Amino acid sequence: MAKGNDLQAWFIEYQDLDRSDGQAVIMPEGFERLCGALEFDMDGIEPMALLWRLNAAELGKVEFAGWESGMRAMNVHDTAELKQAIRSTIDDFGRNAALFKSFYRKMFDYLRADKQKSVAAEDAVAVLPIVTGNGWVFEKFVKFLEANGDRIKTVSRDQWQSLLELSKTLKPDLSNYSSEDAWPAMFDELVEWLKKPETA
Amino acid sequence: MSDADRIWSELSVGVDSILNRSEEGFEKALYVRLYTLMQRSGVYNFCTSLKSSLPGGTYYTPADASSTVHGSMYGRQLYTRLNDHVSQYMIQVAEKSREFSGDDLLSFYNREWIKYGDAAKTIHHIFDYLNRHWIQREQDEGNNVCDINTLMFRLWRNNFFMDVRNSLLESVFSLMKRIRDGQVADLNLVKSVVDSFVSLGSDDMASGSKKMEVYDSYFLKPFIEGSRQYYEAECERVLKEGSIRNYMIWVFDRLKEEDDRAEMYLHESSLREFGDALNKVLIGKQRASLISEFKPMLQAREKDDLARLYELLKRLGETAGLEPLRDTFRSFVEDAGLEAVKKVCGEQEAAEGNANKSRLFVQALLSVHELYSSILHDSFKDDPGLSKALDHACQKFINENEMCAGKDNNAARLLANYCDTLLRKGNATARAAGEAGASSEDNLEKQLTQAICVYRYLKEQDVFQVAYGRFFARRLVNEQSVSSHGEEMMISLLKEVSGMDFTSRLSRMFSDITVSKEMSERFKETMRDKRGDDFEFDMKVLNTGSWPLKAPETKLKLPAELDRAVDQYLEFYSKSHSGRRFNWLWQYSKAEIKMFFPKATGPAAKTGYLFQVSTYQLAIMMLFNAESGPGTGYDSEDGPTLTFGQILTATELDKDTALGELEVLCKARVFNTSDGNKATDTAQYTLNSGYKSKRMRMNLAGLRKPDAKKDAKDIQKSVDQDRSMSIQAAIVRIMKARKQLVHRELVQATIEIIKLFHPQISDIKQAISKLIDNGFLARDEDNRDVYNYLA
Repeated sequence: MAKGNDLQAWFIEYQDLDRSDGQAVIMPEGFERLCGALEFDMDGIEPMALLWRLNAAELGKVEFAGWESGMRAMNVHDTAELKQAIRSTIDDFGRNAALFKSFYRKMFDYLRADKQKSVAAEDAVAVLPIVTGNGWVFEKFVKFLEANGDRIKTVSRDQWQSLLELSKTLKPDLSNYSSEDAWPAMFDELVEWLKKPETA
Repeated sequence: MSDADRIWSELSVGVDSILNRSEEGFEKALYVRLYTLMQRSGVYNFCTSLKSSLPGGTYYTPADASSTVHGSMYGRQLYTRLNDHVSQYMIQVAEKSREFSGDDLLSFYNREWIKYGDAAKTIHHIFDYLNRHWIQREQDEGNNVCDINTLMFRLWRNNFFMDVRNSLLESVFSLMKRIRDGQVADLNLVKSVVDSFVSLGSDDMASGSKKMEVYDSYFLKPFIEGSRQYYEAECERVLKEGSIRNYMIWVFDRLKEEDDRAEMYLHESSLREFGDALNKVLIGKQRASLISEFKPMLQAREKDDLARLYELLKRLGETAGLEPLRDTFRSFVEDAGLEAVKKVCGEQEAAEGNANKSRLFVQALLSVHELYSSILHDSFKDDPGLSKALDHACQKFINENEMCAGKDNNAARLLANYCDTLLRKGNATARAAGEAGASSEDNLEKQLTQAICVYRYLKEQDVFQVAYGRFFARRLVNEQSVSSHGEEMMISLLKEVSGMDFTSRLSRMFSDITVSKEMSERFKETMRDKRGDDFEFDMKVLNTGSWPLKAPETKLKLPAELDRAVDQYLEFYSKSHSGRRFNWLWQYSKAEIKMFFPKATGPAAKTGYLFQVSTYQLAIMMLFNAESGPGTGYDSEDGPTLTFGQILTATELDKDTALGELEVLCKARVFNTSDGNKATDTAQYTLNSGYKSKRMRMNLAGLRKPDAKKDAKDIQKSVDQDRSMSIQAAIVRIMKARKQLVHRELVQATIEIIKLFHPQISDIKQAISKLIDNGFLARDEDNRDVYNYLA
């Protein structure tokens, strides 16, 4: 069992010490160093999984309370164990739908800017491939956003969450999609766009 | 001869006398004698003769007599003898009847029937004792014995009627045929025969209830069959001789005759069956050819023929007769409407601006609607099925026609435009299109009512409301209403159809104007001696939320005098209402100024020219006023020369507005410019000091008309926003009540609850998305199809 002051000491290695408000946080710069220590590619999924496991509320910012409870939950004491834990979490995403869903949903909050309710379409385009790997629905959705970037500027929470469901149920020939179902209106557009011969 | 025989012989004489009484006359005395005979002596005599034959000399009282077996035997004897006697009589009557035929037979039968009826009643009374005692007892024991009256009728039926009924029927038919062929004959004879058939009741007399079996099987059915055959032949004849139209007229008349007649002789229970049979042979058989006449009649607008056709087909019932008409009517009216609009599209006048286009369009719609409404009313008696057909047709051609096919035009906007032309000053053409001679207020009311009629059919009433609101606002602000009463009339007409939501906004605008007027009056009163400036001005204070007016696109620095006046008004206003924020809409205000050009000649030189100008124009022109110029004083005799830039700086107007107004002023020759007298942004402007015009008054302000295309765009944008809000509000209302709902049900409920327009599914989905984003709804975690209301 990791002792409290071990976790604390570990935290302090990356903590932002210039803060005037005295809050114990790891800021993006420190987080990047941590990822370096873990040999995580900053453009990959690992940093985000890490943030999620450490209960971060914002991208690149970890508070001590979250750090502590996260480390304990993972039963991790050092860098090697942490690296392993995160790797296996990522593996689990493929097997455990509920787990991935929770992570995926949190990603939305990481992507959106502080005051905004929605995520910028270009951010979604950048991050979705990383997070969702090679799910074909996500791929198509990203292409759709790119093609319609002049009109569609944001992705709402409902659209984001519904996208995961869509990826689980939509057939490649689009035959089981109906605009009379409860999908968000944007998906009606998506399917129409996918049906176009020039899109295929 | 036994006592019984003796008594009977007396009775029988009396009975005969009663039966034959019309020939011999009937004395009341005889009646009394017979009755008494029956009552006292007859029975007593029976009883005494009974007594005499019994051993022991026992005495019987009359009361006892009926309760003994012997009394019963004698009752039966009496009954039987009467039965036989009257049967004989009837057989004789039957024989006599064979001498007669045709109308004579009917008369004979009728006479005998009436006579017999009375006789039966009388005999029934005379034999009253028998009725009450022996017969009653037999009936109580369940024996098939009927009272005397019933017996009499049975005897008539079995001994005479059954014999003669076929001849009777033949006679009736021949009489009916003569009547139908147009000859005069006595219908009462038929009525009597019918009555007798009815009275003869059913074959089962024991029950005592009168049934219609005799009548039905021995009269009605053969009669109906006979009538049917008669008309079958007649129909063929008429159809051969003439057109189907003639046939219709003939059928119509004959049916009316038959209807009127039938009430006089047929039993009322038969009228329906009889009517149906006639309908079948006269109308039903020709149904197809009749229905095929419908369209040509509509085309030729033959109201009388249509009315006849409608009445005839109505007799066949809703499904067989009227339903086939409905679809034809609907598509006919629809085509007529579409055609009328198409014609308007082709007309030259329609291309010349929105006012003409909308007027011609609406008038085309109205003419079609009126034409077929009047046919519906005059020929079809406002039949509900056909009325619905008319409504469907109107809904179709009013909303989906050639004029409104593209994005440029829209039935709702055109109608709003039309209403504007009716209510705005200076539109004599539109109003004159009403009836000449009617007072213009009545005329206006009629035209507005007609416009509302079209409004009811609009698919997108909310577009009309937004457009009408804008036109209305402009009329009020520019003081262009032709009649205040007219405006109020229109508001109340709209309220009838669409309720308070829409019209309350209009009413508020209206009252803003009224209140402003009062304010202005009071202001003028208070400031009468205090102001010092020698011009009048009026303010309209409008409630921002109620008016579809936008902020001006340019800033403006008011001329100093105007500035002062505005301040004074604000001070006055804030005494009654404090804490209000004002947005100035200078683009809607106008001014009237008197111009004295330095070198003007002609009659107006002394009196000055009167110009109506926009406030922007005013600001520009005031710069050239010698006393209030921008500090340069007189550059020349013509007054100051200013560059475009200087004008901009001094007035703080934006470039486009300034240029636009200067263009108007230059065209009107108020200004000269260094650029060939054209208004450009590089030119220098001087007053046209030698201005001369025949006209003393000029309106320069109204020359910048609103851009119709931009208007349409603004309207659509406003409508879309309103719709989005309406859909969201509807969804929230539904979800608040239901708490949880499946997607499809929510969509359905939303569509049903919104009356003003047809919400599209994609719009509903958008609204749902917005509400989810804003935290009013959430998707259920377990079931994506379900929404939960978040309180």
